[in-house]
Amino acid sequence: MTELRLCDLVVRRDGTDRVRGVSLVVSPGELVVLLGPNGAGKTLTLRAGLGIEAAQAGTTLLGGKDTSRLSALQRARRVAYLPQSRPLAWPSRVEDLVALGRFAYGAAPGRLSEADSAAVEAALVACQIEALRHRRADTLSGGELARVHCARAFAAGAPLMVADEPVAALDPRHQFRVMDLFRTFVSKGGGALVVLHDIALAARFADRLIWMQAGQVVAAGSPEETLTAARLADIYGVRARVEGRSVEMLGFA
Amino acid sequence: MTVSRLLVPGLVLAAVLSLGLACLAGSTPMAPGRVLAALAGQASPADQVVVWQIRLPRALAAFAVGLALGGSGAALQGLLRNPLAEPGVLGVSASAALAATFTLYFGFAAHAPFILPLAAIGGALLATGLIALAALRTRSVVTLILIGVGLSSFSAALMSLMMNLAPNPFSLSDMVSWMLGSVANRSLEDLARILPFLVAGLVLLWISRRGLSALTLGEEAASGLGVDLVRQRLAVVLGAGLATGAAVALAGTIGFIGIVAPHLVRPLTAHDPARSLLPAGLLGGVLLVLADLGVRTLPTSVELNLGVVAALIGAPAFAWIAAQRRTGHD
Repeated sequence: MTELRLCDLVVRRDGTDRVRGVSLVVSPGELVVLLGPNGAGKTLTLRAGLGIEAAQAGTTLLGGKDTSRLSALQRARRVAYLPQSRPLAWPSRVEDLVALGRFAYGAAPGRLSEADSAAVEAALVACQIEALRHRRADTLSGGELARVHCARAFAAGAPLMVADEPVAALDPRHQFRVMDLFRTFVSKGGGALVVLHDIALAARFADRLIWMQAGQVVAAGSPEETLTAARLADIYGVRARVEGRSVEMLGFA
Repeated sequence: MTVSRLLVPGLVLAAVLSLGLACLAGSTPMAPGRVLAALAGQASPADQVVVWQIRLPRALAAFAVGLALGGSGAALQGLLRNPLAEPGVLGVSASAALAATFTLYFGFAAHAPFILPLAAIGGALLATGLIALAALRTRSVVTLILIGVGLSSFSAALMSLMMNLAPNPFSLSDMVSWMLGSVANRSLEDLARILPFLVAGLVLLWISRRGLSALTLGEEAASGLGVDLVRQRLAVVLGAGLATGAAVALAGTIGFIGIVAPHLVRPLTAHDPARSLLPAGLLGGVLLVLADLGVRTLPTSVELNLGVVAALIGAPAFAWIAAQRRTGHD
């Protein structure tokens, strides 16, 4: 059983504490959404939690093991990471990009073991991009490209997934498609930690919401428990109408 | 699919053919039978000398230089995620040539035959190290290339200064030949002296090639995939520094082959930096052997320098590749 556990994480940048004592747990079978305004420290929390960014204090455990003691490859086999910026240096083929997800298993595009090929194939099917497999990445639409990146992350076959704004700049239909991919992943026993800016989308798909403000977790729990008009006014400074899991933004608070 | 599978065998064949052709052609053309006999040690002493001491060493030197520069170019392009990154453009070749010229100017090179190659490799490593340090501070590849241009210009300025102050015409002509780049009059001993560095550099690039594929997704995603970025940078910087330094020690500065060869190969390898590495090196070698063959057989009153011809063809190609770039992520 692999869970991601952050304990009292502190990240300091340029003399100020950007993440101030964050603790959170992502368990198998749950989709956890990290919410908070720009600059709340969400991305830094993810990066430090994965051990990609150095933390000044606190511990992060992956499946009970200290992340800082894991090699980059060991970590990559436990958790797949989809960063916020997804630049592509070369007009690579879709199936080659997805194959990069198998890097931690010693694979490379064009050099896949049977298990690697099977994982790549399954990820292509799951993300409904089999038809695009021979296309060059620079010929894809934004929605198609988002699914290619998801397929790359799913192909790793890691029990955990950390994604930073995976639906940014997508239209509503493609947002649903990508979030459906995460739901399917979770329903099969995976654990996912996803940063979102769309509160309505978060409330619809998340099992648990973690609210961050100024580098701290200010609330955590199911959407029913933690999604309130007062919280939205406090954290985001917006006026909203909330009914159960549905939200309507009305304006400035 | 079939094209990419035949690419490496095809290029190996082209390399063998071009090396053979370089042995056939020259001021006294020799028939294939005579060359084969000379290679097997069965020909007249004069033929043996022409093949073993003049044509073959020169062709092999051109091939080694092209292999080193093509491979280094492909690896640096993968690391910096930009098709314009290349030892020449990044100032690596110029720094290596400066260090080599330095040993010539002060007469160190005359003390022992390995001093000049070591200096060239040291200069190349210094430049790749500086570029890698700068790469830690900036994400913009354009900035890195501009730093390389600065490095290149500064090396050129110092070389001009040394030429300006050259004590006698002999050291001046030595320095000029390093600047212009040539494989004329190279012996098998010259080649053997730089071979260990060349091989070490290319092996380093070869074993770190998988990380270059992962870097297609950007540094952050690559480190998420399990690439140790520090080790990856170090391996490519060391590998490209060693290989480029060895090439400059053998032939002086020969520019643009590190851009042109990978650029031609990339569409045939699905734009994958790892799969482009070997074909880019092989094509670089073949191109330089053929270019040197042209230099040797062109009926000019003074023999042209290989580096000059490479730049005449390569610089416009560089401008063309730069113009083709879609302004996107930097």
